[in-house]
Amino acid sequence: MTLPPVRKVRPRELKGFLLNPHKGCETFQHFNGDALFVAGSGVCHEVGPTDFPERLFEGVTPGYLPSSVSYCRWFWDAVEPEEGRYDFTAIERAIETAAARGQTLHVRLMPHGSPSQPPLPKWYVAKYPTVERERFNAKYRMAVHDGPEYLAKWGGLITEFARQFDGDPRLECVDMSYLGAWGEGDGECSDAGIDRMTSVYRQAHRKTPVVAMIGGHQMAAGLRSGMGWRCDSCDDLGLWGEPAMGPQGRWNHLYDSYPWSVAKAGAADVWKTAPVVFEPGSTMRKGYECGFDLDFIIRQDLKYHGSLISFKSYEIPEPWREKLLAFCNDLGYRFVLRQFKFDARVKAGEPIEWGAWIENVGVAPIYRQYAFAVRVSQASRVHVQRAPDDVRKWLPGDAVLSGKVTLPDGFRPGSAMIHVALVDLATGVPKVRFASEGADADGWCAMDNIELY
Amino acid sequence: MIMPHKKVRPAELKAPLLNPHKGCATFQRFNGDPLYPTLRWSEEGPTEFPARQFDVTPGYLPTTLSYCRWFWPLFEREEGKIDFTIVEKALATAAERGQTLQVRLMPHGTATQPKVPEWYRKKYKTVERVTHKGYEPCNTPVYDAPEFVDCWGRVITEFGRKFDGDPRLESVDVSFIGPWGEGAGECSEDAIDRMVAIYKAAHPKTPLMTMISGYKMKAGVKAGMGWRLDCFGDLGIFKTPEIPPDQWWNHHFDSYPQQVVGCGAEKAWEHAPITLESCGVPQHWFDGNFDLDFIIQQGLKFHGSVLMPKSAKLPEAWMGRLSQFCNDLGYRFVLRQFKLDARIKAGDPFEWWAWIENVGVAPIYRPYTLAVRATQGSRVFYHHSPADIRAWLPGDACLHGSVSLPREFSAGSVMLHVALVDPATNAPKVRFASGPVDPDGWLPLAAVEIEGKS
Repeated sequence: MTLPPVRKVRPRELKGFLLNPHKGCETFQHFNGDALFVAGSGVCHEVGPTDFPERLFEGVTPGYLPSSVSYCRWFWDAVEPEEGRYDFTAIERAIETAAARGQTLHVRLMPHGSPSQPPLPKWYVAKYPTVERERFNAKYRMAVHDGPEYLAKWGGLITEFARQFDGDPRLECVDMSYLGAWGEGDGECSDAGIDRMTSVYRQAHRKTPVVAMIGGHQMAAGLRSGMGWRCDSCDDLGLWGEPAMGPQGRWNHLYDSYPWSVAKAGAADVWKTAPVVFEPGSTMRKGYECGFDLDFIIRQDLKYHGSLISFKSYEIPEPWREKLLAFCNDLGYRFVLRQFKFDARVKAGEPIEWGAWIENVGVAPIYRQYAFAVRVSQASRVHVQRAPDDVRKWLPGDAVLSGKVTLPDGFRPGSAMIHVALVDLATGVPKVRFASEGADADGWCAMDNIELY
Repeated sequence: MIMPHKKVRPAELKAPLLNPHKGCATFQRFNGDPLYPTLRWSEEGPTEFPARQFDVTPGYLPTTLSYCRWFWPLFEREEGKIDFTIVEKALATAAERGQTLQVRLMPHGTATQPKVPEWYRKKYKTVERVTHKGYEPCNTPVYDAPEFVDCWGRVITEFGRKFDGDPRLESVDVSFIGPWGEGAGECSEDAIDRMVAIYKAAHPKTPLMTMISGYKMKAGVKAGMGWRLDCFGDLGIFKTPEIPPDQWWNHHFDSYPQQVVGCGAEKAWEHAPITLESCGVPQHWFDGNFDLDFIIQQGLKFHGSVLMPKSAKLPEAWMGRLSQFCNDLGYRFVLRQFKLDARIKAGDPFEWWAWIENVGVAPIYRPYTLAVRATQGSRVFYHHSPADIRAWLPGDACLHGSVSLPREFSAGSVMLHVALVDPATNAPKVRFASGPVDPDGWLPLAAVEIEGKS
């Protein structure tokens, strides 16, 4: 039996959970290894972190899932305590903490909360137009959302935030959030006002993905400018509907809102270029206690081609944990290196031709540029060549790559080893794991030897 | 509490559902015919149509599709005298058996199979050549010669004239190069373009399927055709004993992904069907210890609608998974919710909203119609939604409509049903994966109350 002129490597597919960046479960206002929120403890989970205690748990926090993204959101008064005096210290520390815990940071800045939560900054209420609104049986003040003052002040905050953080590799994405409590859309604003604010977010964030809130013109305007979208009740099968309707007829987001909002906004294909992000309407325990159909919820969210979900850093009901772990695994991209082939023998000075078939068996692409790299090593000599392919274009389905590696002087006749990986553009370090066997401890996937002569 | 709307959320059906234009296909045979007695099949299409023997043929799966292919000499014995009687009989038989018919017309086979018609060989140039490794040389036309384009083009044009748009016809293969028209031959890109244009002009309605790989695929997909492959399941059928088995060439690793990407065919399934013909027959996969889960995953990844396992007995141990696979191919429409005005005044229209989710891997490629049926006593009214159901890709379809009932409908309850129907007959044709459905194929919704004369 002879060796063929082209060597093929077909790594075995990994089926189990794989912790990869930019996808899956998010911690909320916390980081990997932090304690969870405790329901009924009186702590307002809408207030972003300002203290960053030492990691409490070495591995995954008990009751939660492995995570590569932290989601934090802060109210306006915390980041601009006086007009024009921006203070992003907490965000800087959050970004550092996330990075230290193996996470990127998903950020939302919010103008104010509900009546019992932080209001608009005092300086804003004192100086600029606001309106009184009643929500949750209480009165509170909202900005006049389409007024020039709000555009200038909130827009100024967003612009300053982006000036400091846009493109920071530690930043995952930014929510577009400026209407009503938590910026989630419960407030009036003209379409023109929405367009203006959308433009501010877009101009400010040239590199970091921005996600628009689902529903209405805010979603449509966001999508038109290339944003992803998010929804905040991705598990709702009857949290708020009219009880008299019974569970089969009760209004809920998954039946009565999201399909319609996505269709109306023309958002069905947005996931191909920008991320889709989920948050449950309450805690997962609430859904569990309501008897929601978890399989249906998961199926719907995968149907939307989601990449991230925040379980709000509350304990996940134990009977649901395994399914939700699988769900987080199924969200976003998942690249299987099906085959890598290369010239088995190459004459000194001639290029090594290679071809790769990679299948994205996930539900979305990756939204950050990494590089497919081929590494050839021989004793202390190492040469790495990156393919020019844009990995963000690897939608679910096949990616077929080919290239040539020309080795520099110094490689000698004999055997050399080939590895491949998806590497960080700046550092060349493997960052995204293939769902394929064969990765070394350093993240490079061992292919096979090549004979140089 | 009086609610302005009623909502119906039918239960999702998870079990296999026999629906048209998707799933398993019989080959050179029809539902209820015996299978090939061995694992060998015939390339020569049926010329006789015996009576049905079985409900579902033992060893096979339920199907709504038959796939037949015939060689040129059978339907054009003399130049210009084209006789499609056989195709007509096959269409009629398929329809009787609850199937639509996929058709391929083939110029010739291999050395041991039918050649191009004698009249063609006498009059026009043909060549002897080896088309496949290990095969005897066979006689082939010059595929890009004007006379071949003219003569074969005439066949295709005549076929299209007679059958294009026939609802019994499922699809037509574009097949003009090499044995069985499967591509093993040389043809210039110019001639391929001409032939593709002929097929396209002849079939403005019936879907066309181009063969995977090379310029013929690229040209076909560019012209809006679907595509087919003929070695589905190949994880090592073609052995190369001189090298280690893990280095053997196979279609799934070394051809199909590269061809689909290279020909720009990744999105063809969004508007035209993908058909998967088994490599050998599934028993060969079984005997080769191939990874069936991987094969199935690849077929679904390609957004296939049809599996054609050649009417050979399927491995018993794999029947469950193959049945599930056929169920998962193509479209599968779940009626998630139907909402309607609970009460209307006589003479006023009622509004409705429907959320349908396609939980399959492809759309349907035939324009059925979503219809709402209103009944009150002996009065029946059909309302057709203008939605093009071919646009229901995997994911959500959200529809909204308004129905004005005829004056004959009086105060009281009007019962509503919904179905996907043939718009010409109002007969339900495509079953929702939702239920329960009445025996006549209509899915019951709820009653709308008419409040009195306006």
